[in-house]
Amino acid sequence: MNVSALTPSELKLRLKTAGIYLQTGSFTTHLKTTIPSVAEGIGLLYADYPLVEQDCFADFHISLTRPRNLRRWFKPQALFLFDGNTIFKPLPLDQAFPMLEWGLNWCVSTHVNHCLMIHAAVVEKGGFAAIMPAPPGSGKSTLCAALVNRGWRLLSDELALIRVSDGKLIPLPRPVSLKNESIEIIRRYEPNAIFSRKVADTIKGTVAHMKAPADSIARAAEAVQLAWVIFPKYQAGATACLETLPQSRAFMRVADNSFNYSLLGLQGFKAMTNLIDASLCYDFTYSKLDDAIEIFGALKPQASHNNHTYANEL
Amino acid sequence: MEWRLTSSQAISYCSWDDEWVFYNNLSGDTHLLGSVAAQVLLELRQSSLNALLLTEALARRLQAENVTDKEFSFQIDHLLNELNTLGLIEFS
Amino acid sequence: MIPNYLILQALREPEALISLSLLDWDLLIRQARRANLLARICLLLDERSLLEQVPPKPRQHLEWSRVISEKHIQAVHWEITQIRKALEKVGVPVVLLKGAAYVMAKLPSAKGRLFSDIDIIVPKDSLSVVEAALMLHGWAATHHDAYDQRYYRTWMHELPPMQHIKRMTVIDVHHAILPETAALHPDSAKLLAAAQLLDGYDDVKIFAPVDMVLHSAVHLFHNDQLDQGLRDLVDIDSLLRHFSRLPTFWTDLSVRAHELGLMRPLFYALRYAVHFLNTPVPSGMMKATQNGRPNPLTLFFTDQLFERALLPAHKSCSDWLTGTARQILYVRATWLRMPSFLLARHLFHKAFISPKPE
Repeated sequence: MNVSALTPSELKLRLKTAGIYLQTGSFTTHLKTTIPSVAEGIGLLYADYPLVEQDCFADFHISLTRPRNLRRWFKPQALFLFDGNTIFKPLPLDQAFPMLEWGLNWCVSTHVNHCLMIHAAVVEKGGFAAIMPAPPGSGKSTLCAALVNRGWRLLSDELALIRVSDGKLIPLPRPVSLKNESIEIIRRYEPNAIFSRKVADTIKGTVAHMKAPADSIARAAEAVQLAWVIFPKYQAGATACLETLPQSRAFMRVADNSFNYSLLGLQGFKAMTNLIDASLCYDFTYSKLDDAIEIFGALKPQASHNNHTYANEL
Repeated sequence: MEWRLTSSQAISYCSWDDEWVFYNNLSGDTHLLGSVAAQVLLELRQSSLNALLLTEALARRLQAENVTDKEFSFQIDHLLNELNTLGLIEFS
Repeated sequence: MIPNYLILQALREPEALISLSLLDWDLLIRQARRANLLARICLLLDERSLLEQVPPKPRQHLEWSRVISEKHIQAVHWEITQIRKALEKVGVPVVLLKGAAYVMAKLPSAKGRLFSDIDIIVPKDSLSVVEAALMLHGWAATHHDAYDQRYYRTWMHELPPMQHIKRMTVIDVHHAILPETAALHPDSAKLLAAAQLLDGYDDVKIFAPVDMVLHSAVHLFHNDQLDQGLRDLVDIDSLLRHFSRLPTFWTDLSVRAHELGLMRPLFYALRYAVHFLNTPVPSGMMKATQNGRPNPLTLFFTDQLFERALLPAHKSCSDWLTGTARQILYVRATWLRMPSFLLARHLFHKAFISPKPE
């Protein structure tokens, strides 16, 4: 049963009382909320996600509530609770849905350790995936949103999960987070895309979330082989340009964008070595989305890998 | 007094072209090293050496012409101190 | 009495966990995570070769936490190497306390541990040279607020925590195990004199077994941070089980507690370790600690408080009194360490002056 099987009022009631057990990628989240905008956001952007049976094992137990303090009469706020504990400072009430998205990312990025986790968007085509690690402001999510509206499958727009045991990418398709001008750019680029309501004045500026393509959600259990590591950079007026990046440099930069590289110790080093080895690594500068789509369409996976030396002594 | 790998340092590394990425299992840090630094570690992995013998061995590895060249020994000294600070090698 | 919470069952009898339902696992994982004991439970199962029998979902959570604990333990080793380097020329042996000592001495209480800092103790008259040496090697004071600095330096048993500017790790340098202002003040010189060199080192020491137990008892029952209460009780349980194989351990423990004036904390430590974790304590020992027993009314109230506050701060382990119990124990722990005029000042300051962002 998917979220869409519930009517908006059923969903709202369920979220308020027992909560829902929502399946995103390989994780089950038990989610409760009394905040109407969160229920609406879930109804809109999570319609195609499976609901797991009630009262099963959940990876994360979260709720979004309104703190019961004096402020609620003047400046209503939203609070994100992880298993009853406050994780973030409260935010203005109208930021509750973006807060849910950030909170879900937090749940995964601070707990999951069977995967090397990179702060990166991940897309796939023809059985090969590209990860796009990048600091905020590089246009990673915009590019990701454009690609998934032009035939690429969305694995994630924030979290690349590389399974340590076999180096495969594990999908975690969730709504794509867009900021400021990117929202209108993608709306124009794909008029059929579904967006959550825009929320202004967040720490990231104005944000809105784009619904993940139904096909990507349906294929959330299909792990993929990595082929490319691409560091995107939006630069106004620039001609699209894909530049080969030395693998050792790519290694260090991907590690810099990782949540748990250092935590994984030697395992992380080995996983990163395999990841870089399996990939062609590029810096990518672009200004026009169509150019980017064309260049991504022409990407070829490397013919063979294991061209490095590796040793683990003693 | 000789330079050697820090005790229980189990060097892991990978390299592409002429750049090396070393994992320091003691500190948990990862270092991007150039070929000279990498050769120092590989040399010391075989045996501990005093600075002079190490400089000679490196000169051979790097095919440097004149091992008495002051600049070369000065650079090696500097490098050894850096690797020491990173906890990869020690002097004892 | 204490309800039979899953987390306590898990610690007492890990073997029984394999029959848990998925729903029980859900709750146990949450309780254990809140108590910082998830990795320990993973290791307890693993050493009994039972991990494979845990259903995949909860097993994954256990394994995730083990990764974190392994990293912490590796980082502790590295940090101690750095501390030894920094103090090489000071000529004072580093005496490791609590978690750092358990890890370096490979005691069972180190299993699955997480760290927020490293604690060491040095003689009081070496404090300033130790502080200077650490500063020279990149550690800097964390409490810049003048009140906090004065508070630590005047009243506490440790320097203000110091943080390494590159690694961001924190060291607490103690000169005693309780503040100078506390009603109990075990003689640090005696503790240091009995400290033993760590196997394979000539510059690192740990407390003698009985002192280690007494310190963990003091730490638990005089600490204002009871969030880690169960974790600390697990330390006590684990130390007692481990050291009880030493031939004269129990007698030594009670003699030492007398000598250092720590009968009360020892009485409580044994009482709650037995209550919560079924620690095997010889009946003669329970009798021997009776002179640390408070009057019945005090004991009744203390039981009420600790039976709540020692459990994980999770809603499944709370009743309507839990919040109050934690609050009272904060005041109690602070009160035990300071005479009352000081207490008023400290609480007033904490309550009304918000710390400056650092």
